[in-house]
Amino acid sequence: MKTKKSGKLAVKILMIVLMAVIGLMILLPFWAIFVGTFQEGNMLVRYGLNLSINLSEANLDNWVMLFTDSGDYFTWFSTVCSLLCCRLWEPC
Amino acid sequence: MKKFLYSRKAAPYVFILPFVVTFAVFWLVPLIKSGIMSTQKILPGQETFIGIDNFTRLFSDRIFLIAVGNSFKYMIFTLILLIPIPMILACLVNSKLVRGRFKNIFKASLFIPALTSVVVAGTIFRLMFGEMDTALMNQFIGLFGMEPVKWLKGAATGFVALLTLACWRWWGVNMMYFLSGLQSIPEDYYEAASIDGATTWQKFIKITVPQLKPTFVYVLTISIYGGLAMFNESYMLYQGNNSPNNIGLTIVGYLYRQGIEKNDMGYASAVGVVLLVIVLAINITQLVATGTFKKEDDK
Amino acid sequence: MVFNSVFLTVLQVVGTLLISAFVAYGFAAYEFRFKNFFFVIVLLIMSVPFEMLMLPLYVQINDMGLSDSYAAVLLPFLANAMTIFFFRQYLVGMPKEIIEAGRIDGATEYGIFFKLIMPIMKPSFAAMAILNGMNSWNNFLWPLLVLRSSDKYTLPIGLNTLVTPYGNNYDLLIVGSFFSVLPILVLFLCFQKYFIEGMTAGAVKG
Repeated sequence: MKTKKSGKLAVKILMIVLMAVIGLMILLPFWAIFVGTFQEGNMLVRYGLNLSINLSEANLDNWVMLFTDSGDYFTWFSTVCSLLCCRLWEPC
Repeated sequence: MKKFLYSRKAAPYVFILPFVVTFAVFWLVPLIKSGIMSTQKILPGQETFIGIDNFTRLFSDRIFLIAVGNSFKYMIFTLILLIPIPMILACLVNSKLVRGRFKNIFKASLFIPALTSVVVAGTIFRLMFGEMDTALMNQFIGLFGMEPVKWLKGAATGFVALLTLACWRWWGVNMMYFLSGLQSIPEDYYEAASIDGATTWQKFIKITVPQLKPTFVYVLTISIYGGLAMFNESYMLYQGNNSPNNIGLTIVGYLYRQGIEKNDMGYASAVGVVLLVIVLAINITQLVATGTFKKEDDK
Repeated sequence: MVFNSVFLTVLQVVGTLLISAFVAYGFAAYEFRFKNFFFVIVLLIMSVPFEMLMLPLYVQINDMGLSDSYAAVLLPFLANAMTIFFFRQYLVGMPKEIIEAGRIDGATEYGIFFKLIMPIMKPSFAAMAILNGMNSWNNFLWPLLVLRSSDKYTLPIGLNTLVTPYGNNYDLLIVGSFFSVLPILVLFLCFQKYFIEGMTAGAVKG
């Protein structure tokens, strides 16, 4: 009886580890692009995306450009937010 | 007139009218047109009937055959990678050994890639499969002591990139299909089997697998369709429709190239007709083989 | 560009849902001639690759003078086969007494649909709204074909134009891509249940 119980525990741990690994692998590209937003575009094309932040070259230039050069994003964000509020408020 | 429109006899036709109109204008007419165009040589303002010349030209077109080969290869690999693995993952999520919240996080994280536009996914993967040793995938194989690879330049490695992208985007969705299939199996079946002394493995083979069959057939059908009609992924990964030596060219890619880029509509329509015949033939065979039609007759 | 995407998404979702529900009710609530014939067509459309119809449809849109307009992007998908199918499955299980009660109260056939049926369809609307919204937000190939002027572009095509053989703007592409995932991600985290219901709707009845 004792061996059966510990066997079950081992299976459980194995499953959790497996699911955690797969889940993390699936989310890695999102981390990669998030980190990429702080790097200069031409550097990315040359060296490719990876997971580490090169702190010495990291900057917020891209983000600043997104919010200043392309004002569209503001319209968009407020629209999505108001849509979201409507849906949340509406009793389902 | 108004009275007639409001009568119970006319109402159903009014209800389905929008569908019939859209169907006629945006599906039936183009479908017939596509059949007609495939037998024509089309120059601006001038259409000549040339019979099956487009088709004979198609089957001796080396590049078209490459495209067909690529689409089939892609479809077969996606069937291998995108059906069994999500099925196993769904079984993992459905098992009672793991707690609720952890399961939900797992489900969500697998599903999130399906929310991204193919443009975003293609951009991320193009950069992750970069050529230098600092790109993520080269760092990864570097862990096993392998030399950096120029992923997108080679036929086999380019395919690895395409398939990785496909797995990333579709594992979660297919897992959800299987999960909803698993959850619709009545609990009593398993309880009855437990009373009869069945082992977990027996329960899996005798109950889970047969009950999952409709889901399996559905996923198979859409995977065949999706695999053969793939275009966006390759278009984004290779920054356009021109991959080195056509290693990423698919049937739809060839249709796009001939019809839009080279403006040879007649020839492109022939490509479309061939694609339709292939997809329908494979899917009908598959549905007959799995006995889906028979079940409909019984009803 | 972003506003265009939102605008198109909203328009497409509202239009598709209303029209598809309308049609689905016709299939679910009535017996009439050719009903099975038309329903088989709905099923057939679900299995014809859109990519195959793309070219003749493109020619036709040009002939109709609709090229480079949002109508061209929206119209072909308004009576969406998949959505009709889902609503019909949902409505078939609805009790017929509601319709009878409506008739006794003197409502017209259409009044019954708008006043009595639409409210009970609400839960299925949520699932389909999210599915259609997701497809419309991420739609790429068809808008790429029909939209020409850059001020009409949707987000995916707009992002795509940042990368050309003549010069790349990866600075904006990366941050724009990352940012474009956020709203749909927030929606997903809030309405996970409906997302999954919508996606798996087709598989349930096999």
